[in-house]
Amino acid sequence: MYKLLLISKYLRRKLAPLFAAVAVAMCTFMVIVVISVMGGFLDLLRDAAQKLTGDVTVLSQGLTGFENYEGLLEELRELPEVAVATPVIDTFGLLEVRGRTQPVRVQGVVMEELAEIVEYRDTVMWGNGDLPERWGEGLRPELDLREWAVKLEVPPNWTFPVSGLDEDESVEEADVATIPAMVMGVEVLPYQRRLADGSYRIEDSDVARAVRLTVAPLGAEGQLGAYRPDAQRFLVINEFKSGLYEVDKQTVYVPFDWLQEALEMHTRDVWPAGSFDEETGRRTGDPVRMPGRAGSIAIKAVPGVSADAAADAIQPVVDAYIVKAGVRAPLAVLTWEQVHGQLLGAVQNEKVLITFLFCIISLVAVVMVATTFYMIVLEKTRDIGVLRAIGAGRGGVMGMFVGYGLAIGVVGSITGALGAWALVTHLNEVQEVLASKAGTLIFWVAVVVVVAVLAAVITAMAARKAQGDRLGLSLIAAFVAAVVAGLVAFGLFDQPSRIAWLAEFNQSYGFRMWNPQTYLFDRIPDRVDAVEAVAIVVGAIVSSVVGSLIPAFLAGRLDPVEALRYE
Amino acid sequence: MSEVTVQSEILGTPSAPGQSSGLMQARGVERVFEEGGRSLRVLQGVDLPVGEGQWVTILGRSGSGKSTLLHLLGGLDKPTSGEVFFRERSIASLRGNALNRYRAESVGLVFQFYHLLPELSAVENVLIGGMLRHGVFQWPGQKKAYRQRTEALLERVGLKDRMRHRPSQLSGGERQRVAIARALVNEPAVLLADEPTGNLDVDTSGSILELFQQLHGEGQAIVMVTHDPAVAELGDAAVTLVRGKIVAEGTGRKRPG
Repeated sequence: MYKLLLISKYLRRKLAPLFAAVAVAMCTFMVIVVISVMGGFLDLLRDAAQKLTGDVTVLSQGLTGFENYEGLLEELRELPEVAVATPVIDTFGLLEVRGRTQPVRVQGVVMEELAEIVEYRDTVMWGNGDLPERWGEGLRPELDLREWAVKLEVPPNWTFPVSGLDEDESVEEADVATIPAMVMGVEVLPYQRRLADGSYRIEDSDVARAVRLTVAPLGAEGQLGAYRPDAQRFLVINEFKSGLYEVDKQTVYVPFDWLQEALEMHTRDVWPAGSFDEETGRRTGDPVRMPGRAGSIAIKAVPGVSADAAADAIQPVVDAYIVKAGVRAPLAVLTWEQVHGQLLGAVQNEKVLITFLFCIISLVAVVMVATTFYMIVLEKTRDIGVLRAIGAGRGGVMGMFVGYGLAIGVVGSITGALGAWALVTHLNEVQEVLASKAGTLIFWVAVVVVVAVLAAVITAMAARKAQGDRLGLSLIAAFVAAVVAGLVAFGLFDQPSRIAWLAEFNQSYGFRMWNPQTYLFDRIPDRVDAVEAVAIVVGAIVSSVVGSLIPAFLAGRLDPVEALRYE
Repeated sequence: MSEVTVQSEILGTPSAPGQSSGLMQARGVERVFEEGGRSLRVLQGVDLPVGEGQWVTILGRSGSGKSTLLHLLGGLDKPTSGEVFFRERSIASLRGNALNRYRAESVGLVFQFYHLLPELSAVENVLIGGMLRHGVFQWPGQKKAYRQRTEALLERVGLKDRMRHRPSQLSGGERQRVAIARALVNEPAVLLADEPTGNLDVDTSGSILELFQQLHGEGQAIVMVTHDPAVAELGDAAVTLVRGKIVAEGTGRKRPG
């Protein structure tokens, strides 16, 4: 019981344990913030990757795809683990818009099906996700897309470009139904201006604009097919933002049927080489039926079935189908994590590495606690002697200092964890204040500090003359003055728009720790994983106890007579 | 030899201490400290009997070994040779918890420099003695009784209105009173006081000695170390240590009351 009494007294009365607790709190705070942000970043990446890919992909290794995909698709759709399955073709193409040509990654999709798999509705920038139904129709020029701009900032004077296309790119109303539709990544063209807060402002949209796409068809053996001089015109009907910058920068979606035909991957009759009459030039013999091909099959598992479980169910079906249908291309069954394994693995590695490094840095807490405790043991040597003299055992004294370390660990780590939780969950707001009101904050703090110091000095001098309690009085006066000054300063400077130079100062010196123009995501991850936080708190407590062990051992070994004589 | 004579004159005729039943006894105690390759013989064959309820004063100059002898009696130190017995049991045979219990229950230590714990109030400084005697599980059952006893002790030593004060808020005399209350809280068989008035002015010393006299009058055994021959006269018996040897024994002259 005396241990608890002394621990509680030592915690309250000494500055040294306060420093040790602050060190533990800072280390806990630091590690939780770093792990939360890194972990949150990884979670966002995983969410985005899963939304983009679906649960499982049956992927052919190569651009030529695999044949007889329809049969496999039917068999997969019959599996109880599979909710939706849709064919996808992935290739590369050249996109020409406004006289500018750039390479893009082209995905041929059945959007109505894909939208059930990849959260397409959540990613489109225009409208509320009801575009898949309009996919087959293309865009109707009479639609006022201004109403659809739910995720975009539209200037008041901005007019939708359907009515103002260049002559050679304009789309006649009559053409709309015949021109295939395209959905492009929001970063593909540089005309959407990404703002500092991560939102987009429309300078000039390519939605409803006609663009040209050229793709190079490949034969079944991967050879280039016939050259197509006329690139296909597309009408851009929407833009999407998956959250993965590389995807949003490179990817366009086009109808599966169009891309399949353009790449000569559709079902067709082919005459073997030399099967024509040399005199008449007419074909002879029977054509060979070439089966249709797809690049991959995207699959969504039924709710409650994990991607791994679905992949396990799909693998034997695919293996059997390869043999049965004579599929020549090797097929791989990959979960979404495996598809994006390289990116996710890199971020995961980075998280582990940074966590490890910060844990090493956190050893500072152990050393700090050990140093503090050693100083406390030295300072308390005589007290230890007294305790031993009046009946405390070696184990008791040692236990008291270990308990002291435990108490510092508990107080420090819980304080640090609460601080970290408060910061991480408000990180975006903190950034916003730092970015937009840095000058205001600097002025506010400066005014408070100056007023507080002046008030403390003046009252201390006045109290000295009066022979009063100088320190207490001056501190109280300083506190009151600082609060008043803070309120006044905040009232004055919280309106930077009224003070031009302050607004300019804020603009110049605003600090933005997370630039959404640079990073993949527009918000700083702001979730704290409770399990990780608890593990870190426990680690900090253990570190504190470890830090107190050696000083505690030394305290326990002190000879009571020598301790009593200690000067 | 002249020193012996002087001391003998001060103490009067040596009597045989321990005439009452034996409480504790040092028998042929030697204490040698090894320091820088040299042996320092601080106590040499000291015999000291202490009877139940007896006040024995150990006189001597600085460095004579009187505090060392007190530490051996209190179980804080072990003799190099010889034995210290408490109620016929050798203290040297006590180990670990048994030794801790001896320090907590059987003896009460009072130091020249009070040695109170600065973070604790007067009440807490006294109560901690009880906490040390009883474990964390026994303490709740004992707490109330100890609380009452502590407050009664502090009231008795004249600190009724200073119970919540910390040592830094108390005078030297008041601190020593708290230390005496702490030493008494477990009702020890013997109080071991190491120059309890050595750091106090004459008036305060007088009041502290008066307190010891009262306690002794109530049957409390006391072993007090002092270099002041006048203090020795208050006890039942006195021994004088010179260079680690008892050179004179005697009885006190001034009786309490």
